[in-house]
Amino acid sequence: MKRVWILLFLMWAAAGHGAELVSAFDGVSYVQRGVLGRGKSSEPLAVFVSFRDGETLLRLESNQMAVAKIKLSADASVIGLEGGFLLDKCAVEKYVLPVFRAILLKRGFYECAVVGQDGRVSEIRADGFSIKLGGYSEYSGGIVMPRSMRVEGENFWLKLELVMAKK
Amino acid sequence: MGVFVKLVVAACCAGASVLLNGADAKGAGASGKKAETVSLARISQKKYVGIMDGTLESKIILVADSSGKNVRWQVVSPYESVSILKGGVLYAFEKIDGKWVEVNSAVRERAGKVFEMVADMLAGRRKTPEGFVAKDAKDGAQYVPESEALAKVVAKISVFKNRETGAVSKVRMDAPDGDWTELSLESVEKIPLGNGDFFDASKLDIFKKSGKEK
Repeated sequence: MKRVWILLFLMWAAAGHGAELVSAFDGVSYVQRGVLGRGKSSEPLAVFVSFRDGETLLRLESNQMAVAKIKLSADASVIGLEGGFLLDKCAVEKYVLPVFRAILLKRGFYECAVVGQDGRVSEIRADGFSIKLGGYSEYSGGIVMPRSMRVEGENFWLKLELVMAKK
Repeated sequence: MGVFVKLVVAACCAGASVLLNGADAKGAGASGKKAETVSLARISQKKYVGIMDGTLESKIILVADSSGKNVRWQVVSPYESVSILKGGVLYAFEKIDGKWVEVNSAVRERAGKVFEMVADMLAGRRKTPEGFVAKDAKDGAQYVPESEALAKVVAKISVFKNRETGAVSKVRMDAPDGDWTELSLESVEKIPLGNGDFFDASKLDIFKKSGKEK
């Protein structure tokens, strides 16, 4: 009976109705590397994220050029947003921003999260895309982060691998 | 696209060219017949991204044949990626979760031309990166963009030379927003071409992640 209650609680919480889940990415500075696919083409992608004074800063690069820059407040409100190579500002707002917010598991920016038996978030679902996380490992400072991330959207896909992470 | 990529790769290879050409004297065997060799350069890259604390370091292996028409650019740490130019075609791959994923860039053709330019520079046929003006500098050379459009992408490229040998030791690219990338040549050596695996896009694991050959 106890297990049923725990399961029900996890489903309730994961649906975003209860206490907020804590994202492994929240409050962490990290670098990811991977590939962004759109239609038949794909581009190399580097993700740089920094957490400073409650604000989260994101910089996407492809071929050493900035693709997107976003700065979010603690509640994931946009402080700054820029487009660049590959993506203009509108595309960053439409595709990058929602994914970035969903990864941070901020209430109102995802529909539900699937929590695995290890208690870690394995999937995040949101309007128009889903994010799969796997290979949780310990990084510098004892941070536990997912090594791989897969984003599947209606018009794009993203495969990323964590390169480094630190508090 | 690719202006900055072009500059990064071109500037790096411009740096490598002096050393690569300098190593050309070797290669003649005991029989007097010249063995076919390639140049292998080990490069250390430091990248400063303003939003991150400190710099990010990576290791790169650059292989080029004597014609400069075949080039392999492989990042071996802390992540893995390979770009191979062969026969005017550029092949690019990223390793994710232990598997190579091919990158089919929409700007592949232009990227291929970037590598052609690299080949030219390796062969010593080009000195100043396209779209730039050379300026004298104390320990090397400095290149600044000709156009305002290019200046929005890169502020300047600096090439540093070793005072004693005159060989290029470091290349630095500064972006207008303060970010920069620095490529330092750690070593250059001549090695046998072998069966040409360095320029074979199906041979992606020649260099291990640690940077050691398999």
